[in-house]
Amino acid sequence: VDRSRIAEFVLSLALPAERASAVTGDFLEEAAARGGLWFWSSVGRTLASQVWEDWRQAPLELAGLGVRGFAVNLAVFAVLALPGLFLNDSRSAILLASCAAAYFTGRWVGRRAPERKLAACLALGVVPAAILVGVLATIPIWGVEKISFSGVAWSDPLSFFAVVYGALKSDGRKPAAQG
Amino acid sequence: MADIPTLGEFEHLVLLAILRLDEEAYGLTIRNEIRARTGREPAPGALYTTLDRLEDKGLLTSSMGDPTPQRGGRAKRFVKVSATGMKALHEARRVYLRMWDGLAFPEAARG
Repeated sequence: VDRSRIAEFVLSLALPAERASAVTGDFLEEAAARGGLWFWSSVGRTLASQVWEDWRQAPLELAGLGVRGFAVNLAVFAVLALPGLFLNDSRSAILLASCAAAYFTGRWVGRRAPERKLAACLALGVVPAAILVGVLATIPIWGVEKISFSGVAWSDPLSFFAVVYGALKSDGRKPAAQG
Repeated sequence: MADIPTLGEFEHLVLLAILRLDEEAYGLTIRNEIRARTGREPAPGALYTTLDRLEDKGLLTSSMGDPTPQRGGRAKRFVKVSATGMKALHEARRVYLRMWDGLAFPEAARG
């Protein structure tokens, strides 16, 4: 597998496609002298740096997106999981509904934050989780064990990948025309 | 003067590196130029987010070059300092010079 294609794919989670391609090209050029470890560590650090910058620039926008995305995820999940309750194998049906809801939520989020897809996907998990923890901290009657975090869009790795895949598959709002 | 953005230290270095590189300024060459002249290794992530931020502030412009084989057929993103960027650099230089003016720098502190 061509490592540069994987790197470009990963970087396109946080950067516009044209910039992800240019950055990958820079790393590929320099990796000829510095090796594969440097290449992948640079990809990882660039991704982390970009997500941090996205959160620094638009914290309220991303937090709002996280809350709204959480609501969308729950609504889609409820609609998709309902028929599964009447099946013999309801557990599989609910798992499938959970992944499908995560995928559609990823698409929803991706269209609203086309240049901040990864930061928005992380918001889907972090913001609702933070709200739940805040609620638990302020209402001590509830026990942590009684609250399920399964509604959080990426409470498990499969759902998280479904969210990210959905975000990548979203067409997104195109950047403003240049020139 | 109020409409000229102020520069952070790394932003300042990046803009100067772009000026020095002229037509050949893109991510890799900018990083190499900063490394060669300062002895510091700029983090790749910091460089690219800084380039984006400087472009958002109107301090530089970017354009895509032609794809090249050694980059897996990927184009370079060339950058240039804009007129506003030049003003910001001049202002930063003026401020530094005024702050340094008249200071007797201890000989022992020189590198």
